[in-house]
Amino acid sequence: MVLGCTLENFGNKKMAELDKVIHQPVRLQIMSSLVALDVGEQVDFVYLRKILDLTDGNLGAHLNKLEDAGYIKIKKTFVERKPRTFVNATGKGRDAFDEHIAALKKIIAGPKK
Amino acid sequence: MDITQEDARESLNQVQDISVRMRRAIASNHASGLLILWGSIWSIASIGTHFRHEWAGYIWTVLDVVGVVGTILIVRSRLQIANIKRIGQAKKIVWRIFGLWAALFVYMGIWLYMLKPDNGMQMNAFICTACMFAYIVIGLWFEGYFMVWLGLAVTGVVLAGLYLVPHGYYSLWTAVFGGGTVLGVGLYIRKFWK
Repeated sequence: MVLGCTLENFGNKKMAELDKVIHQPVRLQIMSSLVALDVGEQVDFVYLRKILDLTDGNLGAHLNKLEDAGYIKIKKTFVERKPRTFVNATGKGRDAFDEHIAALKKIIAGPKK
Repeated sequence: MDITQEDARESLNQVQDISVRMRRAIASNHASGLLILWGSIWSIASIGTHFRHEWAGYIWTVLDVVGVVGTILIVRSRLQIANIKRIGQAKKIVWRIFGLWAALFVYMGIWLYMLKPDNGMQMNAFICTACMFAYIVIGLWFEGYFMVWLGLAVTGVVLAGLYLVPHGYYSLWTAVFGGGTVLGVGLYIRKFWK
């Protein structure tokens, strides 16, 4: 049983952990929005700002942080000669988000007896 | 990093709330304009059929052409100015949906030719429910389950009217409860799901 507990603890250390980058409330909302899209879908910066009810500066700062972590991609382009910025979650970002959610569920479930 | 169970629960609730909001925004982005267009066409054509039954063929033909042109314009504008852009897939998706409708209309023509409905009411109900079948398929494809429920609800209403509504008033029934429902859902999504 001791061995089992040791292996279980070792297993738990390997399990999902909270992600410090994603856990910030605004960044959690951003990642939740982007992961809700299908793989390959991008969302317009202005549209995302409206959905999350943020200012340009606030959203921009958090997007940069997520991009630095490799969790999202930001693409600036032109649509009908107007500059548009599109954002999507990367595979790494989706994996990190899934792990973060798993960690939250583990905390909610409580410690194993 | 340690957080309490309550904080974790609140975070998870936020995640779920945002996911629902995002999926609804997608539905609003893609579907609302088309539902408003075709709901309006259905209602107007049905009312026109009720008051000018002898012109029913012309009314439906003209309004269907308007609907097809409107659909092309709406889809093109959505692709160009999309708030939510699918990398490299948008045109495939549009062609897939177009293919579904094209196949459905071909099969509807075949079935109508073979079955030869007895009266206009049956033909009306057949076309309406076939279109709602397409809504259900599209809803299942894209996990837009509101389309599935809309398709099922309008199918039920159309069939109920076939057996409950007096012959002369069936077009009005489908105008209000068929086209009106589709139009209403489109307006609701446009207003509340952004």
